[in-house]
Formats: sequence, structure tokens, C-alpha cells
Amino acid sequence: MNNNDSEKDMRKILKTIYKPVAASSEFREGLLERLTHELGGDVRQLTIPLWKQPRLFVSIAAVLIIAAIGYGIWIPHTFQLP
Amino acid sequence: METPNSALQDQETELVARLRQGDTAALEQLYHVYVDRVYSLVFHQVGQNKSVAEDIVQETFLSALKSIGKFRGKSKFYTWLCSIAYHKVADFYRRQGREARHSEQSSGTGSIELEQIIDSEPLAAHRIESEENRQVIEQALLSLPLDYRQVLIFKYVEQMSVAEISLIMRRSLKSVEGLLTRARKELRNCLAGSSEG
Repeated sequence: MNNNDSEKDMRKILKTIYKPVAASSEFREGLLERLTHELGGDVRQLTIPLWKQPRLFVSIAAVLIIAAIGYGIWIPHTFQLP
Repeated sequence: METPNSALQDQETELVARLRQGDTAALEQLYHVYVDRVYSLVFHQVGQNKSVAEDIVQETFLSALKSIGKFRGKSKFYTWLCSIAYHKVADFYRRQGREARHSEQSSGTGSIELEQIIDSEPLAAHRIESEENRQVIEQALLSLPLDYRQVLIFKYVEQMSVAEISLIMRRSLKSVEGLLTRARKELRNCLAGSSEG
């Protein structure tokens, strides 16, 4: 028996046994409701990777800028040349 | 030129982007397209146990929603969902500790000439539709190691490519091909064993 036939046979057997099954409508509705509720919560914040969260990015940038300015002001006072 | 498949994928990418923004309509659309497909896949992988399948499908969709930000669109959305479901099913079996290489149930279930079903050509599909034969094949499939059963379902029921299966199972292409070969061989052996019993 060649390979193609073997593949076809395997497909036929498995498709006969594993026919598509639908979830009950009760389950489907319940799960959708749960997912919608989750989405309405704070899920969105969790789903975005940290490095892609604009608020976090802006906060870090602000801290760095303030630190740089502060350092720029502090350094000339500390190490003033005679 | 844009193929229907790429158009579908574009639409899906857009829906996923909207879902990331918290759009419930996008969630509903994606959910209705895939819930039954994922349910059917899981249902067969857990030995057609409805309540277990429901639990795993629920966990799969909740996980998918929580990690939608990690979906980069490198695979089809369905492949990504299958990957989550695949690992949930594996977790379930790990928890249950009942992943046995050979189930004793599969032996002595009848002396039907099942080897012929596999090896004769052409295959008479109607022969495996009789209830008795179906049960023997089902038992043979259930007696396979989980990975074997899953790879056969992905390949022959879901008609996925080896590349897609390798993404789902996080294995190399060669490893998936090897697994498929072993799974087919094992199924044939199981069926031959049943027919001899």
C-alpha cells in the first residue's frame, strides 16, 4: 500500500471517529458572559506587555529626565573648580 | 493578489487588535468563530468527557484573553488557541496522573478484522461506521499515549500542517514527523492487537 493511500485511510478512520461536536448553548453563553465580564475588568492592562504600556513608558521617561536635570544641577555645585 | 486566506487572516488580525483595546464585539466575533472548533478538539482529546472538555475550554479562552497581548500574529489565531488548549489538556492529564501507555481496556474487545480496515485498499469507510467497529477504534485511540492521540487529531482531523503542529506542540518539525510516524504505527499495532484478540 503506498503512502498516499495510507494517509487517506488514516484520515477516513479518524474523521469517522472524531466527528465535530458542538458545545451546549448553555455552556457557550455562560463562557461568553464570563469572558465579557473579564474583558470589562482590568484585563486589558494585564494583556499589554509592560514595555508596550504607554503610561508606564511615560512615567519611566519622566523619572529619567528629572534625574538627569537634577544631576546636571547638582554636579556643578558639588565639584566647582577653584 | 490577496488570497481569501490572507483576507481572512487580515480580518482576524484586526479583530485581535480591537480585542486588545477591550472591544467586546471583537471578542464575541472571535469567540463564535472558534468556540465549537476548540470544544470539539478538546472533547476528543479528553476521551469525549463533556464536563472535563468544558472546564478545559473555559480555561483555554480565559488564558487566551489574559495573554492576548502575547499573540504576535505569526501563526493563525486558531493555531494559537490550539496551542493553549493542547497545554491545558496536557496539564489535565498530568494532574490526573492517568496517562498510561497502554490501556488494558483496549485488549480483548472483539475479533474484528481491523487490520484490514487500515491496510486493505481501497478502504471501505462504511465498515468503520458500524457501532462495534467504532468502539474498537475508539478504544484503540484512547489507549494511545496522549501525545500520539493529539498529533493524530491535529494532523488528520484538524488537517493541520506539520509546521502548525510543531508550533502547537513546541517541537521541531523533525520531532513532529517522528511522532506522527510512531503514532500511526502504534495505532496500527493497537488495531491489529484488537483484531487478534
